[in-house]
Amino acid sequence: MGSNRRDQLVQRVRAARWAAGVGAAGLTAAFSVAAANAFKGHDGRKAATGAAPQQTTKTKARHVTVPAPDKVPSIASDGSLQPPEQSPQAAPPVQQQAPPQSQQAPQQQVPQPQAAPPVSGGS
Amino acid sequence: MTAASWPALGTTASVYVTDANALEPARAAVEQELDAIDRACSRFRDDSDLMRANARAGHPAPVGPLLAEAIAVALRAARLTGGMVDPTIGEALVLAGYDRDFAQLRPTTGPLRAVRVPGWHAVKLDREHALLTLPCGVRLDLGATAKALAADRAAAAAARGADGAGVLVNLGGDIAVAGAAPAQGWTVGVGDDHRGLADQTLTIRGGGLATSSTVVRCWGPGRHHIIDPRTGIPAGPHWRTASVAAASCVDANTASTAAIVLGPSAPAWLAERDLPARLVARDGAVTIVGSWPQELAAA
Repeated sequence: MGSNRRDQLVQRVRAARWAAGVGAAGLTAAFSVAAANAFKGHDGRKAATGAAPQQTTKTKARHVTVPAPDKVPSIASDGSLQPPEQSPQAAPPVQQQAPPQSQQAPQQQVPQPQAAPPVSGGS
Repeated sequence: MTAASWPALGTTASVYVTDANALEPARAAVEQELDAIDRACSRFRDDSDLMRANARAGHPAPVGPLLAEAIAVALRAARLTGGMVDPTIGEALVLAGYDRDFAQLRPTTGPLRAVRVPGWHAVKLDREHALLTLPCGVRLDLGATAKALAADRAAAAAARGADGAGVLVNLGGDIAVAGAAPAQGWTVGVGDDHRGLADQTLTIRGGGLATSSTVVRCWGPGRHHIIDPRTGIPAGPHWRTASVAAASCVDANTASTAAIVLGPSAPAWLAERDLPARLVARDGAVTIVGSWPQELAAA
């Protein structure tokens, strides 16, 4: 084989390698774009601009809200109904009279130096 | 002990103070709290936050901070009672006949109509953004807890306004105390009806005391305001009255309401939670739970 023939073959091999490299790079780019657009919610154009208000909104809507500790009502984190610090104590029955106010009573304020004890009952 | 009483929230509000000079500021503070609760949580005024939120069922509705707190309290009560005290009974109450202010109800007879109670899990409350989302057709009723919450809030507000004096607030039998108690404690009675005579007298020094009853706020046979969420109709008649003491009036009322709904299993349920209670059966038999005191004979 002459030297010219060998040089031609080397040139062809180099050209083929270059073409294969360019092709691989092109396919990689094409697959990347395809993959980037394969999932709902991705918007390459908006991402490229750096301003994506719609995406921000969606992110907020999906965000699981965990209130700050100071915003949680004290009872909401309480795991049980709380008994009284001191249990009720028995008391001798007082001389009973029906409380002076009733549900139908006209609006009034009645200061009473010795008011009848309050009654916990149905209403 | 000095006191004042007036009609409020469809019942009687009373405030008691240990210092007579503190009565007026305490009463003013209580009135302010009750007015705020009424505007936020009433099921009987069209302009309340609750009615507006109920009307927007199916869509997120903005709620004010007080209604949000009341709903959070109601959801907590539902969680801690395994759903026995549930705020999604609004439609069931209406079907049972409680569709207007109690003073305007007329005696009703006939078969009860049951409706499936959606359950408290269906309520989505976003407190950070002050948004409430109810499923379509769901109506909240906060009657089981909002009055007790009002008592707790009013007592605390009154104590702040009373400059250190002890304060007791009684909202139709839901009792909350705050500030320095009298030396002998607050003397209170318990009975079927907060307007009537006490069946037992005792003293408390803090927290709350609440009584739930099926024999006062009723408008016909088997028709009263305590709905059993499992059946969608008023709770069965095992207990006619349940009184519970707790660290707050909200907890006391949550437990007393749950006791009525639970029926025969209520004593064990209360004992497991170390809640002192007095349960009165339909025939008048009294069951004492935990450290609730035995009744003393009259002197």
